[in-house]
Amino acid sequence: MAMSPRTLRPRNALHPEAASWAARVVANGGTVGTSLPAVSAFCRAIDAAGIRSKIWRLNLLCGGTSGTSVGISSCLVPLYRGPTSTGPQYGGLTDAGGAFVGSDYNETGSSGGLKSNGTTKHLDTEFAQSNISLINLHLSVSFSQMDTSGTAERVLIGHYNASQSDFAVLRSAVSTGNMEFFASSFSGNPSTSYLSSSSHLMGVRSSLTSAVLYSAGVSVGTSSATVGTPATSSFSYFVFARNNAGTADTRTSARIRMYSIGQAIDSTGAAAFANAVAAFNTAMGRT
Amino acid sequence: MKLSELTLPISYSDSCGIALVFTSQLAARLAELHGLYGTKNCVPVPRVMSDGRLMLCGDILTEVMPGGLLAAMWDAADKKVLGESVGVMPWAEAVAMLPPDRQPV
Repeated sequence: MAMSPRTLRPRNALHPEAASWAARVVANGGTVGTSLPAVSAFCRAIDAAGIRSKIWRLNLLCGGTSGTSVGISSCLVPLYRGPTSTGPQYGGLTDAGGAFVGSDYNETGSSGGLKSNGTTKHLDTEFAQSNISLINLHLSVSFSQMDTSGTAERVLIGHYNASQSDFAVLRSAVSTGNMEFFASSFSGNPSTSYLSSSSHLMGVRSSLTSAVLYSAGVSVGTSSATVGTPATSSFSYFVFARNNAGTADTRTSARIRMYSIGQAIDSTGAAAFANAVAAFNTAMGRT
Repeated sequence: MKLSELTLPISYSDSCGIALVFTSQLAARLAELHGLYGTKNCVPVPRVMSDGRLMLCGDILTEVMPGGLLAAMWDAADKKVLGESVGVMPWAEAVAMLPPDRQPV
């Protein structure tokens, strides 16, 4: 009797992209720590939601051992670097670690993720703004310990080129008391009042006239204002700061658990994405 | 206070309370050393203070010990010169000397 291929497949086989991530982590001097099963489950959830091709770069900031150099070497390896695992890849093989040290990182628990001091630390994704259209864009971050200190805006992820309308940032804005998403427009951008607890925050611009801000997969702000056609630049997206034409500024001291950059995701996809992130965080005790 | 007066290793909590302060000339030399012996997993990017000196958080000293992200760079550095050339000041004082961020959009 012929054996079904389904029967022969190990039930707990790693998702191929999780296995790839694990190999890249080791190559970077890290270890997978306790993260691998949760990473694999995350990959399956994203596939099942049908949004894999919308996510061009994503880092779950996991692996390794909390509070160690190995933890840093592990968590700087992104899970996704392109809309597929086999097509074009974008940005650095790893995120360039701007002065993070082992004690800034915890793999698991309520303090899981990477924590900045808001002054001297940021990550450079080396993912150029010109890689992806600003009018078909999402930026997302799962965070805790939001930074609302001082008087300046605090950027979770973004880039900015003052000379042209080629900027996109997800930030806490002390001046307005809001979490905001900007993409290629100085006005008419979706926002919501500060999120005091942890959340998966995602800004989406899907056209010149549509931008949405999601928190935990639920729309919390929309804008239908018409924005101008954005320019492009080679400046990369920074995390924990804004890349202001090559220099990090408006840093945040938030703890970040993951980030993603990619194309616009609709409301159904946003909910599924948030659920996948929440499931990963739960599996890692990052609640 | 100079770096040479610090006792290493230093704890993370103690190191977060200090800033390392140095000249742009030394920063250039340290960047060269990082290019030769550093890792992309830890790329210190100093900030310019209002008096023209540069600063970093002292917590990077927790990565210079064996096995640390900056250990190879530290091993290759002239620690006598470094110890005399790098100043140490309270973190809050150094942060107070940083220019405000440019107002974003």
